Amino acid sequence: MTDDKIVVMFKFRPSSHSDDFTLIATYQTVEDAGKAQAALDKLLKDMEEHPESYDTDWSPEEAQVSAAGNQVTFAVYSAGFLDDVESVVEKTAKPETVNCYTNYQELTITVKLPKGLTPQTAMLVLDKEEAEAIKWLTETIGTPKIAEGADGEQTYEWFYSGDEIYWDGCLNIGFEFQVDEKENWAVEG
Amino acid sequence: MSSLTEKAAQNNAEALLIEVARMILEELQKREEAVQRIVSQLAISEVEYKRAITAEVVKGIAIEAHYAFLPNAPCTPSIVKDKALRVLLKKLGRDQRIYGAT
Repeated sequence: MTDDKIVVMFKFRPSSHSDDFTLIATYQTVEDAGKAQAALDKLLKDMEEHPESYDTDWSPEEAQVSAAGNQVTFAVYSAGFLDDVESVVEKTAKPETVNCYTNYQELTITVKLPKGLTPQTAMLVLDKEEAEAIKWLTETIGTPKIAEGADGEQTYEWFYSGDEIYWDGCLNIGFEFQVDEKENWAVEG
Repeated sequence: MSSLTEKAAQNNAEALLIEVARMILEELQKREEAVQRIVSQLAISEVEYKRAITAEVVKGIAIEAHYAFLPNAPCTPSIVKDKALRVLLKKLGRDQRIYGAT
């Protein structure tokens, strides 16, 4: 052995787990949504000017604020330091709903089935995984939009928005459904 | 730590949080003019605003309040109250600037 010392440096990630947070507030009117958006813009500006007043793990330039109709969306990567955002969203105008999602996704999920099958009968005919997936989608999102094809098939379509459920070709809906291995299924984000 | 000690710590922490909430309401009372100016720009009433900001402050010190009564406590009730006041001033300052009430 020699006296040579080996210095090994480790870099650790912050111990807290962070996610892409998306907060969506729905207001009664477009005007209310506009007020909330303006207040959120002011909040971000205030964070830039008075960083000592905030206890967050994100900087204002990392955040995104947008409004569409009567909805305001705020998105940022954080371990959940959103108290100031929630405060502004809830008191500037009275929201009808405020929902917070982690790794928010909007997906169109389709499955091609033989014509004539209803969601109920489809569950009897299909394999267990597909049946369970249709059950989950119908219970979680609602009755699918059904489009009749000319080829003796029909397509069920669900539009999903919420917490992340789809990655690596797999739908995580209480169980792992490897949807990319199914020719009759498709997921588009 | 025995379950009795833990229970006592929890009860004391809850009592401290109530005390802090009362203290915050008193502090807001002292700053009534600023509160009125903020509320005039909001969609919620003065009572709702005071309740909301008190909840924000209490949430901000809840963990310290719990630790303040555990054996070898890293902080004391007095330190927790001081922090609560600092958090209140930060939140109030934020709202004064955002709602143009400075």
